[in-house]
Amino acid sequence: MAEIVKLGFAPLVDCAIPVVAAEKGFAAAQGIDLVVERAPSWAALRDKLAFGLVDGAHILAPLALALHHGIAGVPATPVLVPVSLGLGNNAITVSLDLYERMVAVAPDVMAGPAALRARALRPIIDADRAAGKPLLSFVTVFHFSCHHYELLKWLADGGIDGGREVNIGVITPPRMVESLTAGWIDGFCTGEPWNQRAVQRGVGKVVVTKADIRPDGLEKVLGLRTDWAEEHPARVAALVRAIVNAAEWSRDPGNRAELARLLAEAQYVGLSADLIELTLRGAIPAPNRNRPDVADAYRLLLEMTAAGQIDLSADDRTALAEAVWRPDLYDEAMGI
Amino acid sequence: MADTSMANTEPNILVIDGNPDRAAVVERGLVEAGWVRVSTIGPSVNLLARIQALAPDVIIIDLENPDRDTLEQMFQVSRVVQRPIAMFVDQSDSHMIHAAIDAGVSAYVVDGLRQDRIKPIVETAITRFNAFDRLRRERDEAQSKLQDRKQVEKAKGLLMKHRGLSEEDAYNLMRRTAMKQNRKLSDIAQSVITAFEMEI
Repeated sequence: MAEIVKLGFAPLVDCAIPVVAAEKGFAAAQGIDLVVERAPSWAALRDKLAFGLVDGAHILAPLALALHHGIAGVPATPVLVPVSLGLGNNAITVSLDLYERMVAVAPDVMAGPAALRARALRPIIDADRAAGKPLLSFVTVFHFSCHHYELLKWLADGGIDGGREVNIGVITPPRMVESLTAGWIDGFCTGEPWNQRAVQRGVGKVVVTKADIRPDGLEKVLGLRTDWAEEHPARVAALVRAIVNAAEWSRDPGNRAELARLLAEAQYVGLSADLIELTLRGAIPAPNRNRPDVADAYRLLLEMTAAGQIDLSADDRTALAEAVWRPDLYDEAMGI
Repeated sequence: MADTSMANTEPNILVIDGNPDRAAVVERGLVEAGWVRVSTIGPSVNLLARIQALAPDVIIIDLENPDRDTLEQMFQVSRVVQRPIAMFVDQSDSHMIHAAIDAGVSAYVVDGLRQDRIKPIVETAITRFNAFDRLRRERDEAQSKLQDRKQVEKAKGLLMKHRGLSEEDAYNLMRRTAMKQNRKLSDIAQSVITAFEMEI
């Protein structure tokens, strides 16, 4: 009788690896019965994990740290990360209106490197302030997300203080294009296919992609409840092997079309297979990125600090990063 | 004057629900239980602007609502909403947290509002969510029973017309078949209907 493991996931293309582990027999081959449960929001996924409705989840890397540290809106829930899941394929899209203003005030900047295009916002922000207009509004997918830090970094590289000079909120990605169209927001930072959808509908322009802001930056991990993981070390090892094997299958270009069809099903991502296939790039990490790297956790903690979300000494940062990121569990499972 | 000051000490409750019928059921329940300052908002509105305008003390939102991520961010950023808001009132009250999760209720409460005042609000919301679920289930069952009955009638009519059976014989034939095959009468009726449709 196979041991049941329950994982929560968010309906994004980078849920591919746990879904493949469950659907393509990689979990069964390791003797576990992997049950995957879709959550409609990061808050719902966090609740399921914090209140023990699932054993683990496909989760935003910074959310795993926030949950462990007790700043994620629920009681502190010890979690550990035995394997990484994805690097994301985020981009920043602005409304057509804002894009035209940026080109009009700073054509040279807009013709230059994407990483520095936020410089074009400077004269716009100054002019709006002088005219007494409200701040520009941007949204990301969640406050504890790489999207949030990537937006802040892009703004900072252009000399804009994202904490004071613009409003940054959160809207669930499927509603971002609608909000941009309605003029409620001026831009967003999210994964695909939502940037492409705004472009296709003619309501937004992509000004920069993650490759220009934070190439190779970790985004999603497998987070497990520490109490569950400590109680079931054999299941953790089996799960890690299943995930690594599923990642290998998912990386094979020959399986791409089948993977897109699988994710297109309503209980997973529920978008057209064609669109998913186009956006799978970046969803599957390279083999050397499956192993958790404590340096990633440490960098995320620095970004959380810069965003004013957490306040820790350097020693405490290291301790937190090492408590949550567990390459030792990965090595043990893989026999390294 | 006394009435006004009373009203102002009442918590300002906001119900956010993707299902407007359930929002109405929850709102009515709260008002009937004596809370007077209750408002509701549905999906697809400029949530940030609406919440800033309403400045609620308590927000009841369905657990599965994708707008929860928006709310959480607002509560993290003190500039947008005046006071920080905690989730699930008393986090040590695991009984209530589980009752809320089972019912599909999630609650956000302005910090500083006394817990003994919040608890009955959340409990009322949980009761109404459960009542709504029960009503919906009963309605679905009633509808499916009605649908089953309609199918049996239709199949009976087809057997009478095309096979020359009496009403009683047609019914007994289907019932016996259902018993023999260990299937529901409505399934047999559906098979009869399909069979006749395919002949045409």
